[in-house]
Amino acid sequence: MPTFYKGAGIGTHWHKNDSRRVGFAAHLPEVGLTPEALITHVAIGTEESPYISLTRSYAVAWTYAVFFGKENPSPDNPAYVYEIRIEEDLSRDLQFWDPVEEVVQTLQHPIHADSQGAVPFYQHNGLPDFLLGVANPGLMSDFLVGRHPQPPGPGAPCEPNLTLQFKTLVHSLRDAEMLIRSHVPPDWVERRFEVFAESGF
Amino acid sequence: MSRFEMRLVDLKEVKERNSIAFLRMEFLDIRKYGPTFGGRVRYARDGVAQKSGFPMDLSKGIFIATLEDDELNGISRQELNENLREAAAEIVQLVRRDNIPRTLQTLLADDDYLEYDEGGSEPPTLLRCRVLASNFPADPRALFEITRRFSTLTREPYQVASYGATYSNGDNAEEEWQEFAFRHCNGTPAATPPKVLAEASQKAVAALIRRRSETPKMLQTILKDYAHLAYDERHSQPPNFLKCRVTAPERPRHESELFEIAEQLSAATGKAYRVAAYGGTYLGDKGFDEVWTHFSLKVVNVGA
Repeated sequence: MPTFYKGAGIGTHWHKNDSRRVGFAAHLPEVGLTPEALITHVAIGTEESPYISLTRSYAVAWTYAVFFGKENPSPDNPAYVYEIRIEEDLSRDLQFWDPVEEVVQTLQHPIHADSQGAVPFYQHNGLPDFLLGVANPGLMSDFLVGRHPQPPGPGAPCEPNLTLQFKTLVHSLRDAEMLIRSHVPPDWVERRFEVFAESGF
Repeated sequence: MSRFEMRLVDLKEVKERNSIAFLRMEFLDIRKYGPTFGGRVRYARDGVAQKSGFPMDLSKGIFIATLEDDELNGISRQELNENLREAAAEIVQLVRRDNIPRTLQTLLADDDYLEYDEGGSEPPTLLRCRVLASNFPADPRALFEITRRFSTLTREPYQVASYGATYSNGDNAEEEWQEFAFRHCNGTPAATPPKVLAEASQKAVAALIRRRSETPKMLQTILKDYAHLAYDERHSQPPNFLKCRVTAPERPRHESELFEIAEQLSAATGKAYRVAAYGGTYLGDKGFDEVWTHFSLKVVNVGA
């Protein structure tokens, strides 16, 4: 049975609602499942989404719990990391996605994508470290801008290509992310760990 | 046990939206772990500072959680999310701008001759550095090499703005300089050639010297109301960077008093002082805001 984790910072929904009793449900399960909704969930925000994010990594869930709450957690007021064990038999109508796999299926064959046409290529065309700026624009956005060599010749300089598909791939990999829809039953939530900053060092 | 510093970035430049005023971004910098990519945006609603904050993923540049449904007070969720997306983009830019001096500190840490002058700088526009060791090979070409490396690291167009001795007219300025400054040139070449600092306006220099001596005294006067706090002269660079320490760690304290002190100092000096960071040793038994043992104040350019 695969094991996944989910972090819950203080003041967030899954901190106030104990998933060992209520399980997990998406905020807007009635919204249609589309590649666009998946990309929006990963790259732009999770608040109005039909998906629930889980991670393979306890450390990622711990980071979300400790640093992404409305208050700093402490031993008296800890954040939580849930451990979830998914039954391999998905007979309970559970739908499960690897966002990387889903996004890859939306990508065009290289021969059909270009920078000018209706179907842009998803790859960037900047420097190799452009990727750092995509992974961490908060502290490394300088890698997104500035000098990016382009072919000599006429034409105005332009920013490197940055598509939502590319951002989604990078952020999904960063968070070892998996997506789930429908309701995760409470009996699949095996444990809830109490965490705060000191508990990780 | 972990040494920590809570880094604060002033957000008062960010436009108020839906009666939400953005006060500051807070994110932890824990020794051996580094700054986290998640932070918390403190805000005021209808003019009232809130106890909690909005968690933000600095990496994605998005808020993780905002107002609860019962806190919306008639605002539509969609409108709120759109407004907060715009605010998040502005906040990420301010956090990045705040990080530029740290990049310079990292660069200068490669040698023992130079240090960043936090007190004399006005980041990100003007960054000053000074020579620590007398045996530093004071060749101006070294400055341009440092500038080149700094511009490469930050991808920002910095140029040498000035170099020289401290407020004196040296005959051999090129050989005896003790400090230098970078200026952000917004992608255009520097309009004027490098000048020695001694050529700066005498009036401005006199005002700066006066503030260097007066501001610590003003701070010490304010701290008389806080018996457990003291001005840390050794680690301060007045007037723009002032550090204080806790002298009675057994006494209870709260981060709110730091903001009171910053406000009082701003009122006394006419300059906008903000809390830059607070830190200490985290044992895990209390909140960060209760166990700090030092804090720093810095001048910000309001409306810059």
